[in-house]
Amino acid sequence: MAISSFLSEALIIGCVGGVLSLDKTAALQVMVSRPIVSAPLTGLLTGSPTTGLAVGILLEMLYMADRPVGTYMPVHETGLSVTVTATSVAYITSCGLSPSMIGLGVAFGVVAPVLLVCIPVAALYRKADIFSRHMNKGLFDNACAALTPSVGEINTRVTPDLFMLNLRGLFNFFWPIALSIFVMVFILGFVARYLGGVYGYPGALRLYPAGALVLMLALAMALSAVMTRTALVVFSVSGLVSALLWVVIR
Amino acid sequence: MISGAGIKKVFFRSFFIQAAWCFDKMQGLGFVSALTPALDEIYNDDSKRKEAISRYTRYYNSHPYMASPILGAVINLEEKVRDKSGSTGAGPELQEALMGAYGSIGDGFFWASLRPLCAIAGIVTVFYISLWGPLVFLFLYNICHILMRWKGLVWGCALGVGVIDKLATYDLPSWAIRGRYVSAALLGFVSFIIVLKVLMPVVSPLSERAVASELNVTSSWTPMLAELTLVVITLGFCYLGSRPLSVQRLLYFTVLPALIIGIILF
Repeated sequence: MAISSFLSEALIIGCVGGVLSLDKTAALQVMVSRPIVSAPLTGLLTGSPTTGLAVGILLEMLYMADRPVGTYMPVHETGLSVTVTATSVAYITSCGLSPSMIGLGVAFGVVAPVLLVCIPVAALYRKADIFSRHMNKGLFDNACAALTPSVGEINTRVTPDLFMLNLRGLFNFFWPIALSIFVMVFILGFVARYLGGVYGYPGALRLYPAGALVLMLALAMALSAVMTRTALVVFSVSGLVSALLWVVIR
Repeated sequence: MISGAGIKKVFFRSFFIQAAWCFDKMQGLGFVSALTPALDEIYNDDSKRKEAISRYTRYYNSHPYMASPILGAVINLEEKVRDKSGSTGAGPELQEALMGAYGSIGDGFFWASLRPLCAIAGIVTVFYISLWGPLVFLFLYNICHILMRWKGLVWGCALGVGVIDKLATYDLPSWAIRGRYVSAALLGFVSFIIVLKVLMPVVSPLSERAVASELNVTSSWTPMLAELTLVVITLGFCYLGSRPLSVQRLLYFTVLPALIIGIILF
Protein backbone atom coordinates (compact mmCIF):
# COMPACT_ATOMS: atom_id res chain seq x y z
CA MET A 1 0.00 0.00 0.00
CA ALA A 2 1.55 3.32 -1.05
CA ILE A 3 2.58 6.04 1.38
CA SER A 4 0.07 8.41 -0.22
CA SER A 5 -2.83 6.10 0.59
CA PHE A 6 -1.54 5.70 4.19
CA LEU A 7 -1.51 9.50 4.37
CA SER A 8 -5.01 9.98 2.97
CA GLU A 9 -6.42 7.26 5.21
CA ALA A 10 -4.72 8.78 8.26
CA LEU A 11 -6.00 12.23 7.27
CA ILE A 12 -9.59 11.02 7.02
CA ILE A 13 -9.30 9.19 10.34
CA GLY A 14 -7.72 12.29 11.93
CA CYS A 15 -10.61 14.48 10.76
CA VAL A 16 -13.24 11.98 11.87
CA GLY A 17 -11.48 11.61 15.24
CA GLY A 18 -11.33 15.38 15.61
CA VAL A 19 -15.04 15.78 14.87
CA LEU A 20 -16.02 12.97 17.24
CA SER A 21 -13.77 14.48 19.93
CA LEU A 22 -15.77 17.70 19.82
CA ASP A 23 -18.64 15.81 21.41
CA LYS A 24 -16.43 14.94 24.38
CA THR A 25 -16.33 18.48 25.72
CA ALA A 26 -17.00 21.25 23.22
CA ALA A 27 -20.34 20.43 21.62
CA LEU A 28 -23.53 18.45 22.13
CA GLN A 29 -22.28 15.80 24.62
CA VAL A 30 -24.57 13.22 23.03
CA MET A 31 -21.87 10.58 23.66
CA VAL A 32 -20.82 9.83 20.06
CA SER A 33 -17.32 10.46 21.44
CA ARG A 34 -17.54 7.40 23.68
CA PRO A 35 -15.43 4.41 22.59
CA ILE A 36 -18.51 2.20 22.13
CA VAL A 37 -19.62 4.55 19.35
CA SER A 38 -16.39 6.07 17.98
CA ALA A 39 -14.51 2.76 17.67
CA PRO A 40 -17.18 0.91 15.62
CA LEU A 41 -17.57 4.04 13.46
CA THR A 42 -13.82 4.00 12.79
CA GLY A 43 -14.07 0.27 12.19
CA LEU A 44 -16.80 0.86 9.58
CA LEU A 45 -14.59 3.46 7.89
CA THR A 46 -11.55 1.16 7.80
CA GLY A 47 -13.44 -1.97 6.76
CA SER A 48 -13.67 -3.93 10.01
CA PRO A 49 -16.69 -3.07 12.15
CA THR A 50 -16.07 -6.13 14.33
CA THR A 51 -12.61 -4.89 15.28
CA GLY A 52 -14.17 -1.53 16.06
CA LEU A 53 -16.75 -3.21 18.28
CA ALA A 54 -14.02 -5.14 20.13
CA VAL A 55 -12.04 -1.92 20.70
CA GLY A 56 -15.20 -0.08 21.71
CA ILE A 57 -16.20 -2.71 24.28
CA LEU A 58 -12.70 -2.88 25.78
CA LEU A 59 -12.05 0.84 26.02
CA GLU A 60 -15.59 1.68 27.15
CA MET A 61 -15.22 -0.72 30.07
CA LEU A 62 -11.58 0.13 30.82
CA TYR A 63 -12.28 3.85 31.14
CA MET A 64 -15.83 3.72 32.50
CA ALA A 65 -14.66 5.02 35.87
CA ASP A 66 -12.70 7.91 34.34
CA ARG A 67 -14.96 10.95 34.54
CA PRO A 68 -14.51 14.70 34.00
CA VAL A 69 -14.97 16.17 37.46
CA GLY A 70 -13.96 19.77 38.10
CA THR A 71 -10.63 20.50 36.42
CA TYR A 72 -9.63 16.82 36.20
CA MET A 73 -9.36 15.69 32.62
CA PRO A 74 -9.84 12.02 31.95
CA VAL A 75 -7.92 10.03 29.36
CA HIS A 76 -8.86 11.02 25.82
CA GLU A 77 -10.83 7.84 25.12
CA THR A 78 -12.08 9.09 21.74
CA GLY A 79 -8.59 9.64 20.35
CA LEU A 80 -7.41 6.37 21.83
CA SER A 81 -10.35 4.35 20.45
CA VAL A 82 -9.91 5.80 16.94
CA THR A 83 -6.13 5.15 17.03
CA VAL A 84 -6.37 1.60 18.41
CA THR A 85 -9.07 0.65 15.89
CA ALA A 86 -7.17 2.05 12.90
CA THR A 87 -3.90 0.43 14.03
CA SER A 88 -5.57 -2.94 14.68
CA VAL A 89 -7.20 -2.95 11.25
CA ALA A 90 -3.89 -1.99 9.62
CA TYR A 91 -2.20 -4.90 11.40
CA ILE A 92 -4.97 -7.37 10.49
CA THR A 93 -4.84 -6.33 6.83
CA SER A 94 -1.07 -6.61 6.66
CA CYS A 95 -1.21 -10.13 8.15
CA GLY A 96 -3.25 -11.25 5.17
CA LEU A 97 -6.48 -11.67 7.15
CA SER A 98 -9.73 -10.27 5.84
CA PRO A 99 -10.73 -7.44 8.22
CA SER A 100 -14.41 -7.69 7.33
CA MET A 101 -14.50 -11.44 8.08
CA ILE A 102 -12.76 -11.41 11.44
CA GLY A 103 -14.74 -12.60 14.45
CA LEU A 104 -15.14 -10.89 17.81
CA GLY A 105 -12.99 -13.42 19.71
CA VAL A 106 -10.09 -13.10 17.27
CA ALA A 107 -10.50 -9.30 17.31
CA PHE A 108 -10.08 -9.18 21.10
CA GLY A 109 -6.84 -11.14 20.77
CA VAL A 110 -5.47 -8.75 18.14
CA VAL A 111 -6.56 -5.63 19.99
CA ALA A 112 -4.79 -6.61 23.25
CA PRO A 113 -1.18 -6.12 22.02
CA VAL A 114 -2.18 -3.10 19.89
CA LEU A 115 -3.68 -1.51 23.01
CA LEU A 116 -0.36 -1.94 24.86
CA VAL A 117 1.42 -0.11 22.04
CA CYS A 118 -1.16 2.68 21.72
CA ILE A 119 -1.78 3.44 25.42
CA PRO A 120 1.17 5.88 25.75
CA VAL A 121 -0.36 7.92 22.91
CA ALA A 122 -3.20 8.91 25.26
CA ALA A 123 -0.75 11.25 27.02
CA LEU A 124 -0.20 13.16 23.74
CA TYR A 125 -3.94 13.49 23.22
CA ARG A 126 -4.40 14.80 26.74
CA LYS A 127 -1.73 17.42 26.09
CA ALA A 128 -3.56 18.41 22.88
CA ASP A 129 -6.77 18.79 24.90
CA ILE A 130 -5.02 20.93 27.52
CA PHE A 131 -3.53 23.09 24.75
CA SER A 132 -7.03 23.67 23.30
CA ARG A 133 -8.32 24.82 26.67
CA HIS A 134 -5.44 27.26 27.12
CA MET A 135 -6.20 28.72 23.68
CA ASN A 136 -9.81 29.28 24.70
CA LYS A 137 -8.85 31.73 27.42
CA GLY A 138 -8.29 34.30 24.68
CA LEU A 139 -11.94 33.98 23.65
CA PHE A 140 -13.24 34.91 27.09
CA ASP A 141 -10.90 37.92 27.18
CA ASN A 142 -12.25 38.99 23.76
CA ALA A 143 -15.81 38.71 25.11
CA CYS A 144 -14.94 41.01 28.03
CA ALA A 145 -13.35 43.46 25.63
CA ALA A 146 -16.48 43.41 23.42
CA LEU A 147 -18.58 44.35 26.43
CA THR A 148 -16.38 47.32 27.28
CA PRO A 149 -17.11 50.02 24.71
CA SER A 150 -14.38 52.25 23.35
CA VAL A 151 -14.69 55.98 23.79
CA GLY A 152 -17.61 57.23 21.72
CA GLU A 153 -18.72 53.78 20.66
CA ILE A 154 -22.19 52.44 21.25
CA ASN A 155 -21.77 48.73 20.87
CA THR A 156 -25.29 47.45 20.35
CA ARG A 157 -24.33 44.31 18.44
CA VAL A 158 -22.74 42.44 21.33
CA THR A 159 -25.22 39.56 21.53
CA PRO A 160 -24.57 37.80 18.20
CA ASP A 161 -20.81 38.14 18.65
CA LEU A 162 -20.78 36.24 21.96
CA PHE A 163 -22.23 33.09 20.41
CA MET A 164 -19.89 33.19 17.41
CA LEU A 165 -17.00 33.86 19.79
CA ASN A 166 -18.08 30.84 21.80
CA LEU A 167 -18.25 28.70 18.67
CA ARG A 168 -14.65 29.60 17.78
CA GLY A 169 -13.76 27.38 20.70
CA LEU A 170 -14.91 24.44 18.56
CA PHE A 171 -12.05 25.10 16.15
CA ASN A 172 -9.61 25.38 19.05
CA PHE A 173 -10.77 21.98 20.29
CA PHE A 174 -10.77 20.40 16.83
CA TRP A 175 -7.43 21.04 15.20
CA PRO A 176 -4.92 19.99 17.93
CA ILE A 177 -6.57 16.63 18.50
CA ALA A 178 -7.25 16.02 14.79
CA LEU A 179 -3.60 16.74 14.00
CA SER A 180 -2.40 14.49 16.83
CA ILE A 181 -4.64 11.62 15.73
CA PHE A 182 -3.52 12.03 12.11
CA VAL A 183 0.16 11.88 13.06
CA MET A 184 -0.17 8.94 15.44
CA VAL A 185 -2.46 6.90 13.17
CA PHE A 186 0.03 7.41 10.34
CA ILE A 187 3.05 6.39 12.43
CA LEU A 188 1.42 3.50 14.28
CA GLY A 189 -0.35 2.28 11.14
CA PHE A 190 3.00 2.20 9.35
CA VAL A 191 4.60 0.25 12.21
CA ALA A 192 1.63 -2.15 12.40
CA ARG A 193 1.75 -2.82 8.65
CA TYR A 194 5.50 -3.42 8.82
CA LEU A 195 5.26 -5.84 11.75
CA GLY A 196 2.24 -7.61 10.22
CA GLY A 197 4.02 -7.97 6.91
CA VAL A 198 7.25 -9.29 8.46
CA TYR A 199 5.98 -11.50 11.28
CA GLY A 200 2.46 -12.33 10.13
CA TYR A 201 -0.45 -13.33 12.34
CA PRO A 202 0.70 -15.29 15.41
CA GLY A 203 -2.59 -17.19 15.65
CA ALA A 204 -5.69 -16.94 17.84
CA LEU A 205 -4.35 -19.37 20.46
CA ARG A 206 -1.14 -17.38 21.06
CA LEU A 207 -3.10 -14.17 21.52
CA TYR A 208 -5.80 -15.84 23.60
CA PRO A 209 -4.26 -15.31 27.10
CA ALA A 210 -3.68 -11.60 26.45
CA GLY A 211 -7.14 -11.13 24.93
CA ALA A 212 -8.80 -12.97 27.82
CA LEU A 213 -6.89 -11.02 30.46
CA VAL A 214 -7.59 -7.65 28.91
CA LEU A 215 -11.30 -8.51 28.84
CA MET A 216 -11.22 -9.45 32.53
CA LEU A 217 -9.34 -6.29 33.38
CA ALA A 218 -11.86 -4.24 31.42
CA LEU A 219 -14.70 -5.95 33.28
CA ALA A 220 -13.01 -5.15 36.60
CA MET A 221 -12.53 -1.49 35.66
CA ALA A 222 -16.19 -1.25 34.61
CA LEU A 223 -17.17 -2.77 37.95
CA SER A 224 -15.00 -0.27 39.80
CA ALA A 225 -17.01 2.50 38.09
CA VAL A 226 -20.10 1.42 40.01
CA MET A 227 -18.26 0.00 42.98
CA THR A 228 -19.87 -0.27 46.34
CA ARG A 229 -19.68 -3.36 48.51
CA THR A 230 -23.28 -4.20 47.61
CA ALA A 231 -22.56 -3.74 43.90
CA LEU A 232 -19.72 -6.28 44.11
CA VAL A 233 -22.09 -8.81 45.68
CA VAL A 234 -24.77 -8.04 43.07
CA PHE A 235 -22.21 -8.54 40.28
CA SER A 236 -21.02 -11.90 41.62
CA VAL A 237 -24.53 -13.20 42.27
CA SER A 238 -25.78 -12.01 38.88
CA GLY A 239 -22.92 -13.72 37.02
CA LEU A 240 -23.31 -17.00 38.88
CA VAL A 241 -27.10 -16.99 38.58
CA SER A 242 -26.79 -16.38 34.81
CA ALA A 243 -24.45 -19.37 34.55
CA LEU A 244 -26.73 -21.53 36.71
CA LEU A 245 -29.80 -20.61 34.68
CA TRP A 246 -27.93 -21.50 31.50
CA VAL A 247 -27.00 -24.91 32.93
CA VAL A 248 -30.59 -25.56 34.07
CA ILE A 249 -32.19 -24.42 30.82
CA ARG A 250 -29.78 -26.46 28.69
CA MET B 1 -42.25 34.49 30.20
CA ILE B 2 -40.01 34.62 27.12
CA SER B 3 -41.39 33.27 23.85
CA GLY B 4 -41.17 29.67 22.67
CA ALA B 5 -38.70 30.72 19.99
CA GLY B 6 -36.50 32.31 22.64
CA ILE B 7 -36.56 29.17 24.78
CA LYS B 8 -35.65 27.06 21.73
CA LYS B 9 -32.69 29.34 20.95
CA VAL B 10 -31.44 29.06 24.54
CA PHE B 11 -31.98 25.29 24.40
CA PHE B 12 -29.98 25.01 21.17
CA ARG B 13 -27.14 27.14 22.50
CA SER B 14 -27.01 25.13 25.73
CA PHE B 15 -25.52 22.27 23.68
CA PHE B 16 -22.45 24.45 23.13
CA ILE B 17 -22.02 25.56 26.70
CA GLN B 18 -18.52 24.05 26.84
CA ALA B 19 -17.37 25.16 23.36
CA ALA B 20 -14.99 27.76 24.79
CA TRP B 21 -14.08 25.90 27.99
CA CYS B 22 -10.92 27.28 29.53
CA PHE B 23 -9.16 26.68 32.84
CA ASP B 24 -9.70 30.27 33.97
CA LYS B 25 -13.44 30.92 33.52
CA MET B 26 -14.46 27.38 32.52
CA GLN B 27 -17.96 27.46 31.00
CA GLY B 28 -18.37 31.20 31.60
CA LEU B 29 -18.51 32.24 27.95
CA GLY B 30 -20.76 29.32 27.00
CA PHE B 31 -23.24 30.15 29.75
CA VAL B 32 -23.59 33.82 28.84
CA SER B 33 -23.79 33.07 25.10
CA ALA B 34 -26.63 30.61 25.79
CA LEU B 35 -28.42 33.22 27.88
CA THR B 36 -28.21 36.11 25.39
CA PRO B 37 -31.28 35.25 23.22
CA ALA B 38 -33.41 35.44 26.37
CA LEU B 39 -31.79 38.70 27.49
CA ASP B 40 -32.39 40.12 23.98
CA GLU B 41 -36.12 39.46 24.47
CA ILE B 42 -36.28 40.64 28.06
CA TYR B 43 -34.46 43.96 27.60
CA ASN B 44 -35.30 46.33 24.76
CA ASP B 45 -32.93 48.94 26.10
CA ASP B 46 -29.36 48.35 24.82
CA SER B 47 -27.60 49.59 27.96
CA LYS B 48 -29.76 47.44 30.28
CA ARG B 49 -29.23 44.42 28.04
CA LYS B 50 -25.48 44.94 28.04
CA GLU B 51 -25.52 45.40 31.81
CA ALA B 52 -27.38 42.11 32.18
CA ILE B 53 -24.93 40.32 29.88
CA SER B 54 -22.00 41.70 31.86
CA ARG B 55 -23.53 40.29 35.08
CA TYR B 56 -23.09 36.77 33.70
CA THR B 57 -19.76 37.17 31.88
CA ARG B 58 -17.89 35.56 34.73
CA TYR B 59 -16.65 32.22 36.03
CA TYR B 60 -19.15 29.40 35.72
CA ASN B 61 -18.66 25.65 36.03
CA SER B 62 -21.24 22.93 36.41
CA HIS B 63 -22.46 19.75 34.80
CA PRO B 64 -23.38 20.62 31.16
CA TYR B 65 -26.85 19.07 31.37
CA MET B 66 -27.66 20.72 34.71
CA ALA B 67 -26.94 24.15 33.21
CA SER B 68 -30.47 24.14 31.76
CA PRO B 69 -32.41 24.57 35.02
CA ILE B 70 -29.92 27.24 36.09
CA LEU B 71 -30.35 29.05 32.74
CA GLY B 72 -34.13 28.87 33.09
CA ALA B 73 -34.11 30.13 36.68
CA VAL B 74 -31.79 33.01 35.77
CA ILE B 75 -34.08 33.98 32.85
CA ASN B 76 -37.04 34.03 35.26
CA LEU B 77 -35.13 36.25 37.71
CA GLU B 78 -34.04 38.64 34.94
CA GLU B 79 -37.69 38.99 33.92
CA LYS B 80 -38.40 40.04 37.52
CA VAL B 81 -35.59 42.61 37.27
CA ARG B 82 -37.19 44.03 34.09
CA ASP B 83 -40.56 44.18 35.88
CA LYS B 84 -38.85 45.85 38.83
CA SER B 85 -39.93 43.08 41.21
CA GLY B 86 -36.46 41.56 41.65
CA SER B 87 -32.88 42.65 42.30
CA THR B 88 -30.07 42.55 39.73
CA GLY B 89 -27.92 40.48 42.08
CA ALA B 90 -30.40 37.62 42.44
CA GLY B 91 -29.54 35.91 39.13
CA PRO B 92 -25.75 35.79 39.60
CA GLU B 93 -26.19 34.71 43.22
CA LEU B 94 -28.45 31.85 42.21
CA GLN B 95 -26.05 30.85 39.43
CA GLU B 96 -23.18 30.75 41.91
CA ALA B 97 -25.20 28.91 44.54
CA LEU B 98 -26.45 26.19 42.22
CA MET B 99 -23.42 25.48 40.04
CA GLY B 100 -21.58 23.44 42.65
CA ALA B 101 -24.57 21.48 43.89
CA TYR B 102 -25.95 20.73 40.44
CA GLY B 103 -22.47 19.86 39.20
CA SER B 104 -22.24 17.24 41.91
CA ILE B 105 -25.73 15.88 41.23
CA GLY B 106 -25.09 15.77 37.49
CA ASP B 107 -21.74 14.00 37.90
CA GLY B 108 -23.25 11.46 40.29
CA PHE B 109 -26.30 10.72 38.14
CA PHE B 110 -25.24 11.13 34.51
CA TRP B 111 -21.51 10.31 34.53
CA ALA B 112 -21.39 7.80 37.38
CA SER B 113 -24.69 5.98 36.91
CA LEU B 114 -26.67 6.56 33.72
CA ARG B 115 -23.75 6.54 31.29
CA PRO B 116 -22.23 3.26 32.61
CA LEU B 117 -25.69 1.66 32.70
CA CYS B 118 -26.50 2.60 29.10
CA ALA B 119 -22.98 1.60 27.98
CA ILE B 120 -23.34 -1.82 29.58
CA ALA B 121 -26.77 -2.25 27.95
CA GLY B 122 -25.10 -1.38 24.65
CA ILE B 123 -22.33 -3.92 25.28
CA VAL B 124 -24.90 -6.68 25.98
CA THR B 125 -26.61 -5.77 22.70
CA VAL B 126 -23.30 -5.93 20.80
CA PHE B 127 -22.88 -9.59 21.73
CA TYR B 128 -26.32 -10.44 20.34
CA ILE B 129 -27.09 -7.97 17.56
CA SER B 130 -23.66 -6.51 16.87
CA LEU B 131 -23.76 -3.02 15.39
CA TRP B 132 -27.04 -2.16 17.11
CA GLY B 133 -25.18 -2.00 20.43
CA PRO B 134 -23.86 1.55 20.00
CA LEU B 135 -27.28 2.70 18.78
CA VAL B 136 -28.99 1.18 21.84
CA PHE B 137 -26.48 3.04 24.06
CA LEU B 138 -27.08 6.35 22.27
CA PHE B 139 -30.86 5.97 22.31
CA LEU B 140 -31.15 5.05 26.00
CA TYR B 141 -28.72 7.71 27.15
CA ASN B 142 -29.95 10.60 25.04
CA ILE B 143 -33.62 10.09 25.89
CA CYS B 144 -32.77 10.90 29.51
CA HIS B 145 -30.17 13.55 28.78
CA ILE B 146 -32.23 15.60 26.32
CA LEU B 147 -35.30 15.35 28.54
CA MET B 148 -33.25 16.79 31.41
CA ARG B 149 -31.93 19.63 29.27
CA TRP B 150 -35.34 20.60 27.84
CA LYS B 151 -37.54 20.10 30.90
CA GLY B 152 -34.94 21.67 33.18
CA LEU B 153 -34.92 24.81 31.02
CA VAL B 154 -38.70 25.02 30.75
CA TRP B 155 -39.22 24.45 34.49
CA GLY B 156 -36.54 27.02 35.30
CA CYS B 157 -38.20 29.63 33.07
CA ALA B 158 -41.62 28.93 34.58
CA LEU B 159 -40.71 28.46 38.24
CA GLY B 160 -37.54 30.49 38.75
CA VAL B 161 -36.05 29.58 42.14
CA GLY B 162 -38.85 27.01 42.50
CA VAL B 163 -36.97 24.77 40.01
CA ILE B 164 -34.80 23.70 42.94
CA ASP B 165 -37.75 22.07 44.72
CA LYS B 166 -39.07 20.69 41.43
CA LEU B 167 -35.79 18.90 40.68
CA ALA B 168 -35.47 17.74 44.27
CA THR B 169 -38.72 15.76 43.93
CA TYR B 170 -37.00 13.54 41.34
CA ASP B 171 -34.30 12.61 43.85
CA LEU B 172 -31.58 12.03 41.26
CA PRO B 173 -28.97 10.91 43.83
CA SER B 174 -31.15 7.95 44.87
CA TRP B 175 -31.76 6.99 41.26
CA ALA B 176 -28.01 7.19 40.71
CA ILE B 177 -27.45 4.56 43.41
CA ARG B 178 -30.18 2.31 41.98
CA GLY B 179 -28.62 2.69 38.55
CA ARG B 180 -25.27 1.50 39.90
CA TYR B 181 -26.83 -1.69 41.28
CA VAL B 182 -28.56 -2.39 37.96
CA SER B 183 -25.22 -1.78 36.20
CA ALA B 184 -23.50 -4.24 38.55
CA ALA B 185 -26.16 -6.87 37.83
CA LEU B 186 -25.87 -6.32 34.07
CA LEU B 187 -22.09 -6.57 34.35
CA GLY B 188 -22.51 -9.97 35.97
CA PHE B 189 -24.58 -11.00 32.95
CA VAL B 190 -21.95 -9.50 30.62
CA SER B 191 -19.26 -11.57 32.35
CA PHE B 192 -21.21 -14.75 31.58
CA ILE B 193 -21.77 -13.69 27.96
CA ILE B 194 -18.00 -13.15 27.66
CA VAL B 195 -17.43 -16.69 28.97
CA LEU B 196 -19.96 -18.20 26.54
CA LYS B 197 -19.26 -16.17 23.42
CA VAL B 198 -15.60 -15.18 23.63
CA LEU B 199 -13.50 -17.16 26.13
CA MET B 200 -14.84 -20.69 25.66
CA PRO B 201 -15.17 -20.78 21.86
CA VAL B 202 -11.50 -19.92 21.30
CA VAL B 203 -10.61 -23.53 22.04
CA SER B 204 -10.93 -23.85 18.26
CA PRO B 205 -7.67 -22.04 17.48
CA LEU B 206 -7.23 -22.76 13.84
CA SER B 207 -10.27 -20.85 12.71
CA GLU B 208 -9.72 -17.26 11.73
CA ARG B 209 -13.36 -16.49 12.55
CA ALA B 210 -14.48 -16.62 16.13
CA VAL B 211 -16.76 -19.60 16.51
CA ALA B 212 -19.22 -17.44 18.30
CA SER B 213 -22.11 -19.81 18.58
CA GLU B 214 -20.34 -23.17 18.82
CA LEU B 215 -19.50 -24.33 22.31
CA ASN B 216 -16.69 -26.85 22.53
CA VAL B 217 -17.47 -28.14 26.02
CA THR B 218 -17.55 -31.64 27.43
CA SER B 219 -19.64 -30.82 30.48
CA SER B 220 -22.53 -28.42 30.84
CA TRP B 221 -20.99 -27.35 34.18
CA THR B 222 -17.85 -26.05 32.45
CA PRO B 223 -19.34 -22.61 31.74
CA MET B 224 -20.41 -22.40 35.41
CA LEU B 225 -16.86 -23.15 36.56
CA ALA B 226 -15.44 -20.76 33.97
CA GLU B 227 -17.83 -18.06 35.17
CA LEU B 228 -16.81 -18.65 38.79
CA THR B 229 -13.15 -18.31 37.80
CA LEU B 230 -13.89 -15.15 35.84
CA VAL B 231 -15.79 -13.60 38.76
CA VAL B 232 -12.93 -14.34 41.17
CA ILE B 233 -10.30 -12.94 38.80
CA THR B 234 -12.43 -9.86 38.12
CA LEU B 235 -12.89 -9.18 41.83
CA GLY B 236 -9.13 -9.58 42.22
CA PHE B 237 -8.51 -7.00 39.50
CA CYS B 238 -11.10 -4.77 41.15
CA TYR B 239 -9.12 -4.94 44.36
CA LEU B 240 -5.91 -4.11 42.49
CA GLY B 241 -7.70 -1.27 40.71
CA SER B 242 -8.69 0.20 44.05
CA ARG B 243 -5.00 0.39 44.97
CA PRO B 244 -3.06 3.38 43.57
CA LEU B 245 -2.44 1.58 40.28
CA SER B 246 -3.56 3.24 37.06
CA VAL B 247 -5.34 1.36 34.31
CA GLN B 248 -2.24 1.73 32.16
CA ARG B 249 0.03 0.11 34.77
CA LEU B 250 -2.42 -2.71 35.35
CA LEU B 251 -2.49 -3.36 31.62
CA TYR B 252 1.29 -3.56 31.35
CA PHE B 253 1.70 -5.67 34.49
CA THR B 254 -0.90 -8.25 33.47
CA VAL B 255 -1.52 -8.27 29.73
CA LEU B 256 2.11 -7.95 28.64
CA PRO B 257 3.27 -11.06 30.53
CA ALA B 258 0.20 -12.92 29.24
CA LEU B 259 1.10 -11.94 25.69
CA ILE B 260 4.69 -13.13 26.12
CA ILE B 261 3.57 -16.40 27.72
CA GLY B 262 1.01 -16.98 24.96
CA ILE B 263 3.55 -16.46 22.21
CA ILE B 264 6.19 -18.65 23.87
CA LEU B 265 3.96 -21.50 25.08
CA PHE B 266 1.55 -22.02 22.15
